[in-house]
Amino acid sequence: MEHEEVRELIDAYAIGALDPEEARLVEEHLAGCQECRQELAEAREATALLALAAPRQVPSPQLRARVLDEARREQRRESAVPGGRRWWPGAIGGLAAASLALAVLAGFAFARINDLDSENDTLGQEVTAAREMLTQQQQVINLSVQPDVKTVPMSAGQAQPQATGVYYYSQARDWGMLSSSNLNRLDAGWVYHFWVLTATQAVHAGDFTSWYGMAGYRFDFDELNLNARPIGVCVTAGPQDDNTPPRIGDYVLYAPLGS
Amino acid sequence: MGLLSQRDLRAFEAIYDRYNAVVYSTALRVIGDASLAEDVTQEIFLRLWRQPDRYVASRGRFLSWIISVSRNRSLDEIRRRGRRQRYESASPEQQAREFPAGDANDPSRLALAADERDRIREALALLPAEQRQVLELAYFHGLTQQEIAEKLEQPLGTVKTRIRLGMQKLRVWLKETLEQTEA
Repeated sequence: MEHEEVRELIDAYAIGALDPEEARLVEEHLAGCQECRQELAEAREATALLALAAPRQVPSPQLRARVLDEARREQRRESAVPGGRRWWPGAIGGLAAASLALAVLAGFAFARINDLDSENDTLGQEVTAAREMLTQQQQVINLSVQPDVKTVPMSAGQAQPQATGVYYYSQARDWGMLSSSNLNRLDAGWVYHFWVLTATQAVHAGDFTSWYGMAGYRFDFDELNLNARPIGVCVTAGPQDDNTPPRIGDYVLYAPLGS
Repeated sequence: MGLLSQRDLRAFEAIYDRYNAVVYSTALRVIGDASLAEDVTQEIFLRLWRQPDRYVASRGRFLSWIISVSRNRSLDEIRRRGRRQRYESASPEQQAREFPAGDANDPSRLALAADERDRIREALALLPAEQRQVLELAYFHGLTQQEIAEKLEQPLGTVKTRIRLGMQKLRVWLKETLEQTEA
């Protein structure tokens, strides 16, 4: 698609009014055109005005308490459980994505809960997290059975040849989700990093840790600010704060994405 | 945001207090259900708490980013629940509420930008009704240009033109406003 044609579509793209094929053509052009990316950034600022003009409503005070209580709980959990931050929450989403894996996982988790109930306080925190995971399964199952979901099996890289995984995403590219198993336990301070790859960049979509070799991860595309259509996704392992773009030899899991 | 990366609960609390209304208002406008809008609001803030590095400051204002996240997560929720036909089946009165007149009297104010909110509403009021309508159908209902054309029984070219002209006016207004603020 030519530059001028794309410029004509930038506003409609920013407000989400293009059909998927048009959006894909725009994204391909955006990958190589700084001018259009700037144009898009300005258009997105303008779309925010629509939301700001909407009638102002405030949520209930109970919501504030729920959100802050949960944040506080997670902070306590991070400090109490070895492996630290984001020990569980990031992994909740994708775990339940595959129904079969979910059924196995649920049985496993319940068994673990029964085991752990009799153990000490630290493990008690783990029980709490597992219970929370189970209560959220239904929500995530709903995601995985949406009509526009695509499923892509992931290949294991050299780093962990035993690893398995499946990547799910909505064809409208609202969200992407990973469900994986047979992952190695990582050293303290290390996490799994999830990457979305375009022709020109590797975008860090977040990190997570595994739970008895299993993990999931869900993200929203709009939070990534991709400059082009994704051509692949991959998982690497590394230190928590090290977001160095991955090399092919580092892949724990990898999946190419078609157009 | 730096404090949030360091797991500072007070910073998170401050961000919640500052942005909860705009997140919830956006979600409610899209979803039309207070309970679901609260669920989405909760999810958005907890995701921010878990992964504050999702927001990249060099790519735009935090306010615009969190509004974009709110809108997209809300549309995602609607699609998930198959409630996309909500607007189509609404009564004329309900539709009128969804597309209030530009000068509708809203006694509340956005805490983070007291008079800015009024000025934005005034700017939107300057848009011809048909331009505002197509922008809102795309933004709050997630409809494509083609879907809007079918819904309004208007030629696709007309819808495209309305979106382009409406967006151009918003962008010009925003640019002028920002220049005045900086001057």
